[in-house]
Amino acid sequence: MGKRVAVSSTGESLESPVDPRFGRCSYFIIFDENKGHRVVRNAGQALGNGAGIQAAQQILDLGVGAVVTGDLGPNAFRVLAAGGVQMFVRCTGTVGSAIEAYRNGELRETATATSPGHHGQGPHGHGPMGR
Amino acid sequence: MPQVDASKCTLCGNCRKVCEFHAIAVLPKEVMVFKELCHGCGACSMLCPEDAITEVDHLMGEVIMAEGGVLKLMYGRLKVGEAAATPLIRQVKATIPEGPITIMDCPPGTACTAVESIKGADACVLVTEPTPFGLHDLKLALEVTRKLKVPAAVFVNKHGLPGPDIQQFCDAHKIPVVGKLPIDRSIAEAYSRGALIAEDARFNTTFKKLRDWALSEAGR
Repeated sequence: MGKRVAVSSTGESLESPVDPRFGRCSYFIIFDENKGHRVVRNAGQALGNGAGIQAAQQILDLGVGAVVTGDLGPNAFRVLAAGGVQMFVRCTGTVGSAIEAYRNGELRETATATSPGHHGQGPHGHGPMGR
Repeated sequence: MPQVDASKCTLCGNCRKVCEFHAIAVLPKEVMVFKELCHGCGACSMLCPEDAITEVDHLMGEVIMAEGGVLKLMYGRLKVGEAAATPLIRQVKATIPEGPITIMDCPPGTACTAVESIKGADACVLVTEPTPFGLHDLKLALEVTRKLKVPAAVFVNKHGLPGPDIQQFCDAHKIPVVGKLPIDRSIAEAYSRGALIAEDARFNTTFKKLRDWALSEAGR
C-alpha cells in the first residue's frame, strides 16, 4: 500500500481552499500514492470538546501517514506524533496546489503544535442565565 | 481518571468509543488519555472488556471552606490549566455536611457543570431575564431539570426589559414564577457597593416568596 496523505479542506473538491483548522476542518481529502483521492467528512468538526483528538484518531484509523493543514492544536499533535504521522502545517491555497507542493517536497514538517488549543469552545455552557 | 494497564490492554478501542468527552485516543501501540478533557465519569473503566483500566485520583483543584456567623461557604477552586470542572463540583458536593439547608450557586447554561450542580437537589430556581437569549437558555435549563426530576421554578431578573414574555411562557408550561426583580438602576448601584438586594425593604416579600417555595419543595 502506498502512503496516504490527508489534506484538511473546506470543501469536497481539489479546488476547495485548504481548511486552516485541523481539528475543526470540514473535510479531509485523502490521497493515495497510486490511486487518486477520496473525500471524508471530519468527525471532529462539530464536537464540543476534543475535536483535535477525534480528528487525529480518524486520521490514524484511515491509515494516513502524513497530514497537510493550516494549524495544529497540541492534542491533535500529540496523537498524530504518537501515531507516527508526518505533519505539514501553515498550508494555504487550494487542496490541489497543497498536494502538489507536498509531492514536490516543498513543504516543511513541523515538530510542534502551531496553535495553543481551544478547550471547551463547544456549543454549550456560555449562556448568561440571568447573570 | 483512567489509568491503562498496558500489559492487559488489547487496543480494542472500546474505551474511546464510550468516552463522551473524546478524552481517549487509541493509537497503534498505546492508549492516550487526555486528563484535562476527562470528566471522571468512569465509563471507560466500567466497560473495558479486558479490565485493563483502573480509576486513579488526579489533583485538579481544592475544596475550600469558610465560616461567617451561622453561615458556611464552600467552593471548589480549579487548578490553573484544568479545563473540566465537573469532577471538582462532584467533590464539593460530596463534602457538604448532612442536615443544614444548602444553597448552591450553579454555573450558568446547561453544560455538564450545571447538570452536575443541579443533580440531586430538592428544588431548583432558574434565574432568567426577559431577553431572547434568556428565554432560549431557560427552555434548555427546564429540560435539564425535568430530566433530572428536580422541581423547578423561575425567577425573572431585569423584569421590565422589552423582551419575550417569560410569564406567558411559564404559564403555558405550568412552571411557577416565584419572583420578579425589576430592571432598576438602584439595584445595580447597591450591588456595586456590595449590599444584599434581599435586605432591601422593597424586595422583602419577593425574596421571602422565593425562599418559601424552595423550602416547601424541599419539605423543610
